Amino acid sequence: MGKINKEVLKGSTETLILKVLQREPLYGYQIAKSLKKLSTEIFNLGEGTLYPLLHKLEKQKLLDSYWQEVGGRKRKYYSLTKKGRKVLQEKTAEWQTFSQAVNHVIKS
Amino acid sequence: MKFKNKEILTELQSHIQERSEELRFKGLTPEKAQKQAAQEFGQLETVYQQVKNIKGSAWLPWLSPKALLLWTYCFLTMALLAIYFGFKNQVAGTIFEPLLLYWAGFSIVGGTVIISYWLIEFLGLGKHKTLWVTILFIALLNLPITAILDIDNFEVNVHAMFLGITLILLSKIFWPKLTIWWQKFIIYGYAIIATTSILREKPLFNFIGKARCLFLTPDNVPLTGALASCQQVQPWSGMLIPVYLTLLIGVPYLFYFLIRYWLNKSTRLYRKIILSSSALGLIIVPMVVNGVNNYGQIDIVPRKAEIYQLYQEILQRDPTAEEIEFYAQTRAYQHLDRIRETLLNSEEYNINLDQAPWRPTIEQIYWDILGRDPRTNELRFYAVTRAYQDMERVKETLYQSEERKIKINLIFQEVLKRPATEEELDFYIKNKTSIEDIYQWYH
Repeated sequence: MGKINKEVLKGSTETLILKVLQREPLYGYQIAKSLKKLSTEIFNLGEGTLYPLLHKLEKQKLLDSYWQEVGGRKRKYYSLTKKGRKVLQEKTAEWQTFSQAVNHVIKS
Repeated sequence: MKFKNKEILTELQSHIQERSEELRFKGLTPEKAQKQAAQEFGQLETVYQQVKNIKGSAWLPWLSPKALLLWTYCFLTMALLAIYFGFKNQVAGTIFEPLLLYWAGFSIVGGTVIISYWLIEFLGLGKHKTLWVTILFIALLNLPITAILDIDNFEVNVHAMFLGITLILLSKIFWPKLTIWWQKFIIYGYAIIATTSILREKPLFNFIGKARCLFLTPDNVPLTGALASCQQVQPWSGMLIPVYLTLLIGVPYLFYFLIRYWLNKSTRLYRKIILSSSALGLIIVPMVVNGVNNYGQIDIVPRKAEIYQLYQEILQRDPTAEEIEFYAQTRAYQHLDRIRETLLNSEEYNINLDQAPWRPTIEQIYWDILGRDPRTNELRFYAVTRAYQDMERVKETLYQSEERKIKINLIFQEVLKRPATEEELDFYIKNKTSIEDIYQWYH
């Protein structure tokens, strides 16, 4: 993991994954790579965190999935459901409120 | 550790393979890339277990929901086939005939859904291509189904193709915005609706304006009877353009697609075999088996039980095979009230049995052999079939009947407090002793 404390990241990982999947369906490896790239290499999600989380979100009906065969290999693509989009919206708003409040306190 | 859940294992291994490929692209040898990718991934067993814990307890493979569904389907199919073919005469006119028919229809519709599922897995969701390739496949599959059932009636196919084209055009813009659930719903929904409409011969857009059935007759034979309301079309008719377009575009694409499918390493062999066989079947089967429902032999099945019931109610007998064939060919099964009227007006029903000159002779024979009067339906039977012209044969049939054996046994039970032995029964059948005489003898 990068320079961020694991405890700080803990509550946000779900939101990060939902956000990465907002534009288009991606498979596990792509999700990890996208997250790393978008966070300028700060967030390097381990497989031990990523896959259990993906399946948890799928079980919660925030994600839907389908298999596709590509280049002789099967990939499981994940995509946001309607419920997932709604939850992402809520969590994004929540994060913005939280981060603004933290910033205010730090700057004071 | 044994990885029972193949799906989870495939997903995790795929991740390792992706990373290994990336490392090879960066210049590592395949062995080093694989080793590094596996090291970076960490303990595969641990991650597998964590995912499995979230998914829930794993079924034994042969007790998974999919496997149970398959077992149930196979069992029910075998049971229905065994009942139908084992007791063909007994099940005629009963609930089993339409049940088997609907089960066969359900299997065909289910088959198109499964093929759609395989196509989705091969092509992936999110792409509009998946929609039109699946629609093309379903349209191609439905053409031979129509040819096998009713080789001439393609209006239902035309309607289904029209629905497919509408879906393709309408969804072109918003397809990527739809959730996976909605994309699957549209694809599977089309497979189910289109195939069901073909099997039921119900054109989809009949609610707009009732479609005249298209009847393809290259030799311009005039249409009469049940086909009088159909529109006769020649093979070059404009109305068949959707069918020809589907064949022209679809068949070459089908072969191209099958080659790609066979070359794909990750596709399972059984799917390759089934999809290829279905494709070959598209072309070969209708050449050999076609028009099985041209004379309504399948259409009549759901109404057979009602026809049997009418016959029993009015004539106290089952319809003959010829009568059923007649109703099928003329589509008369669609008008049960008219069949009822016909039966009530029939010679068989209205025959004046009281005036029949042969009646006293028949009555005497029944008393001698069975100890009772003939029933009305039996008298009607002799009247219509003219069986009274051969009284010796009538007698012989009654002597050999189960009812006579039962009557002799009853006498023995009443008088001798025991059933008749086989030898005693044979004796009285061969010697043609009357029931009255047997009773008097033992009493």
